Amino acid sequence: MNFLNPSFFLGALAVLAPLLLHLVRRERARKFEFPSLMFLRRISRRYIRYQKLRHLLLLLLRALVLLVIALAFARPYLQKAGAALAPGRIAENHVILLDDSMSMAYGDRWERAREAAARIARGLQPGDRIALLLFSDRALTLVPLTADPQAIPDALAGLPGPSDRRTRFAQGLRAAQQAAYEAKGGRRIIHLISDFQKSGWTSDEQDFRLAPDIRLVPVGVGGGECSNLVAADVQPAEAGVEAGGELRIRYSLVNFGTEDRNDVRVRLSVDERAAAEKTVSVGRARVEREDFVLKGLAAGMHTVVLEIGDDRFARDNRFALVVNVRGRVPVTAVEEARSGRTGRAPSFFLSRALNVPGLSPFQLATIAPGEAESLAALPGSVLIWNDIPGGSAALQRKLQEFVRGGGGLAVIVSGERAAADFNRTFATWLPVQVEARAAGAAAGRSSGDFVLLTDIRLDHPIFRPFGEPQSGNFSSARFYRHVALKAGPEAQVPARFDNGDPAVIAAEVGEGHVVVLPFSADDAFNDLPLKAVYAPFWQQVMRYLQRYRPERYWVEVGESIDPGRILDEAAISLLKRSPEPGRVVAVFDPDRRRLPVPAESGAVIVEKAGFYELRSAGLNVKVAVNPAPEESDLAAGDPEEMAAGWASNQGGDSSAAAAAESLSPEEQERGQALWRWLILLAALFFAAEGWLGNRSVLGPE
Amino acid sequence: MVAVRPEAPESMRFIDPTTLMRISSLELVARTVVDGFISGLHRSPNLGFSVNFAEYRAYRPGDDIRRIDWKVYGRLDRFFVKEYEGETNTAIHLVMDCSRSMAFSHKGILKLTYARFLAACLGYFAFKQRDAVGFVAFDHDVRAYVPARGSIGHLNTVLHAIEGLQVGEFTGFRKPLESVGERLRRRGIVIVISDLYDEAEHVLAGLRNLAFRGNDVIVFHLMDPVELSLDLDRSALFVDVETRREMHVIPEYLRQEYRRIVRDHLALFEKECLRDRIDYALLDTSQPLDGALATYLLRRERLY
Repeated sequence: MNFLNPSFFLGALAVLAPLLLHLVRRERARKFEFPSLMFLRRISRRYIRYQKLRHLLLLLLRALVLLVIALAFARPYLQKAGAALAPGRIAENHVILLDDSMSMAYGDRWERAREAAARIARGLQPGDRIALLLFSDRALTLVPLTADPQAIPDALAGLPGPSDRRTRFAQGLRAAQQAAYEAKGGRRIIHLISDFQKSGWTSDEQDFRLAPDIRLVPVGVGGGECSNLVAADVQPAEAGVEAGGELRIRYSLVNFGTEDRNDVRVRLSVDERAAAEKTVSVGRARVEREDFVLKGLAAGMHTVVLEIGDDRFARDNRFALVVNVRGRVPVTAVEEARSGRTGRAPSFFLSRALNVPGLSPFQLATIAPGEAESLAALPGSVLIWNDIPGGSAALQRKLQEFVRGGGGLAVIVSGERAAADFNRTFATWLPVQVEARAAGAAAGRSSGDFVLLTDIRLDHPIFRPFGEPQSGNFSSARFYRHVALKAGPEAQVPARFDNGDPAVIAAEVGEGHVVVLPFSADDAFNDLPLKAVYAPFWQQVMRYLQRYRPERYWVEVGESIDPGRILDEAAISLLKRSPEPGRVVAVFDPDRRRLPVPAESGAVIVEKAGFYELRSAGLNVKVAVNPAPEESDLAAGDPEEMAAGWASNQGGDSSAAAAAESLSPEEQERGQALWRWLILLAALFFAAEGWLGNRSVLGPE
Repeated sequence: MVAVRPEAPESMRFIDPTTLMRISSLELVARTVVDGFISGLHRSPNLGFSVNFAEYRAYRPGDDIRRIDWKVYGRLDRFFVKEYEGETNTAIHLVMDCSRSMAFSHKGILKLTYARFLAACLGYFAFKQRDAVGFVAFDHDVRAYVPARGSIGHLNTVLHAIEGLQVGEFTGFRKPLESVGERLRRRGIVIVISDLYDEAEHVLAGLRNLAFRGNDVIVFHLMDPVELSLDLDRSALFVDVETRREMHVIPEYLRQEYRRIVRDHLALFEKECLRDRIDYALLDTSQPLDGALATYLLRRERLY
C-alpha cells in the first residue's frame, strides 16, 4: 500500500492530544474540599473499573477516528490498483531498455548501465510502473510492467553480463514499445540505456519510428575515446585445398580506434596448437590485410583460432573458424576426344571454367565414352555427358543408378547424333524429350539466325547468383543452333530461349540432380563460352548437380544452426556415407555445457563465441561461432540525436497523445477510492463514540 | 439595588440568594425577603388568623393574671382567661446545622449563609405572625441556644445569634437533636436546616425524637447544586471537610452513579419523613428563598 499524501500522517499526532490533555490536567489536579464523601464512597470499585473501561474505549474510539481520518487524507491506494495518483499527476509506465550487446562489455559501460537502470527504478513514484528489457539483436523481457521497483535491482543482480550479440536498436525499441503498451493508460516512457553504438544504427533503425505517445529518454553510457582491434574476414584464401597442400588463411586486422596500434601480436593456432605468429601495426581507422600460410594439413576438419593481443577489449580478440580439408570436387566429362567442328576437345572451355585454382572448388577430368562403358562405377560425384549418344542400355542403367544414388549428371544434347539417340536412351528415365522438329538456326552461324537466352528464372538455384544487378548478362550470348527439347511435368525449365524452347532443363531423379542443356559447351554454335557469365554459369550448374552449399567456416552469434544437417553433410563429406536417420544429436556450447535441441525445429541458436561441438554416433563436428564484426566498432553516436531520429515525427498530435496517456477522472478516482471507505469507517467510529459517550458521560438521568 | 430575576413575572419577583449576600444586615435580608414574599401573596386570607377569638378557659395557676377577663369575672365571679387563635403562641424553633460541611459553596452562596438567610427569614416571618422564635445551632453537639420567646426584642437576639454563628465541626444528629428535644418545654414547630450529612438512620432518629415529642418538624435539606449533580469537569483529590479523608475522583466516571445514590438518599428521606409526618423540603442553594417560605407557610396553615 502506498500513499498519495503521506504528510497527512502528521494529523495522526492529534491522537496524542487527548493523552497530553489528560496529563496536563492531571498535573493541575488540586485538592477539592467537598462537604462529604459519604455518597462517593458508596460507589463500588467495580463500577469505577467499568467506567474506566468505557472511557478507555471512548479514548480508543476517538483515537481511531483521528487515525482513520488521517489515513483517509493520506489517500492510500493499493499497488495492484495501479492508478493511485497524486491529484493532477498522470501515472508513468517506465520501460528500461538495457543494451546487453557485446560492446557493452567495454570498460565500465555495463556497470554504469546497471547503475542507471537501478537509479531509474529508485525514482519511481507511487502509481508508476516499470519494466526491464534486455536487447541486442533480440529483445528479452526480464521484468514485465510492475509496480514493484525492487523487481528491477533483483533482476539486475541476476544478470551474467553482456552477451556476444550485436546491437540492433529497432529490435529492442519495438519490444519496449510493445511492453509500454501493456499499460492501459498513463504516460509511456522508454529509457534506452546503451552505448549508442553507431554500427547498431542500420537502415532498419533509421526507418523505425516510435509511436507518438511514447517518450524516449536516451541514457548514454558510451562515448569517449575507445580503441579496439578486431580480426575480420578470416577465411581460407582458396577453395578446395588438398590434404597436405598449402592453406593460406587470409584475414583483415581492423583498427576501430582513434589511435595507432603498433606491434600487435597476432597468433594462429590450429587444433589448439600454436601454428604461426606475427606482429602487425595498424594505423587508426585503418585495415591491414594479412595472411598466414599453413602447410601439410591432414584431410578433415580443423579448428583454427586467430588471436589478437589487444588488451583494450578482449571479448573479440579470438576469431574461430573451422576449415575442412577435403580437396576439390572431381567432375568427369565423358566426351569425344576431339570435336569435329572446332578441332578442340569439346570440354576445352569447360575445363577453363572449372579448373581455376583458388577460385573453383571443382576439378574437371575427361574420359572417353568407351571408358565409361567399361568402368564398374562411375568416377567422381558429377558427370558431364558431353554431346555424345547415350550408349548401351547397361550404361544407361549405370547412369541411372549413379544419379539415383545422389550423383549429378549434366547432359549436353546439341549434336545431331546425340539428339537422335536421346529419346532412345536418356528420355527413357529422364523427364525430357527431344522434339522431332529441327530447332533454331540449323544452318549455323553463317545464316545469321540466332536465338537469345532471355527467359531466365532467377529463383532457381542455378541462376540465383545472377539475380543481383551487374552480376551477369546472358542476353548477349547468341545461340545459332540448339536442340528443341520438351520438358516433362517433373522437370523444371529455369531458362528458355526467346523462341520459347527450353534452354536449361533441371530435374531431380532419386537423390541426384540432372541438368539437360540443348546447346554445346564449346563455341561451335553459340558464343556463350566467350561471355563473362560462362564460367560462373557452369560452376553454378556444377554446384546444383553436386547439391552444393557454400562452405561456411564460421557462423555469427545469434544465428541458428541445424545440427542434424551439419552432421549429415559431414557424414557425406568426411565419411563418404549416407546420413543415419533417427540418430541422437548432442550439442555442446563453448563452455562444454550440453544444450537442448528443440524436437520440432531441430535448430539451435548460438549465443556464445567459440566452438560449438555437435556429436552423434561416430561423428564429432565443430562449428565456429564469432561475434558480428561490426559489433567490434565501439564508436558511439550522439544519444540525443539518435533518440530524436526514433521519435515520432507526428509531433503535432501531442494533445491526442496526452489524452490517450491520461486517465479519465473516473479512472483516477476509482484507483483512489479507498479513502471513501476510511471516511465511512471514521463516521462509524464517530457514531459509536457518540453513543458510548452519551451513555457514559451524560448517562440516563 | 436589588437584582431581580428577569424571567419571573411581576408578582413573583424573588431575590437571588447571591444578591442577598450583599446585604450586610441579616434583619434587612429577612425584611426584604419576607416583605417581598408577603406582597406577592396578594392579601392572602392566611393573614390575621391569629387574632380571632377562640374560647374562654378556666384560669389555672400560673396563667398571667393580665390575661384574666375581668368582665366575665364580674358576671360569673369566676376567673376565665380569654384565648385568641393568634395567641396560641406557637414556638418556632430554628435548629440550624453549623457543621463544617455547611461551609461549602462551589460557585454561589455558602450553604451556611443560605441557612442563615433562611433562618432569619423564617424568624422574621414568625415574628410577624407573633410566634415565639427560638434558635439552636449544632454540629455534633449543640453550639448555640436561644430559647423561644415572643417579645419584640427577642427577634434581634435570634438574629444576632444567627449572624454570629461560627462554623463548627463534624455533623452528628442524634445527640444534638436529643438535646434540643429535651430543652423544648413547649411543643412547637421545629425547623431543621441542615445538609443532613450523617447516616440516614441517625438523622431520622434525631428528627423522630423531635416529632415524637409532639413537635411539628420541618426539615429544610440544603444542598449545593454541585452536591446534587457532581457537575465538575475535572478530576480532583476530593477531601471530606469534616473527616479530612481523601479520595481521587474523576467526576466523569462517577457522576452517573453519584447522582443515582444521591437521588436514592433524598428519596429515602422524603419517604421516611412522610411516614413520620415530618415535612421535608430539599432546597437548592442556587434557588431563591421563597420556596422555603412557601413550604413553611403551607405547614403553618395546615396546623392551624
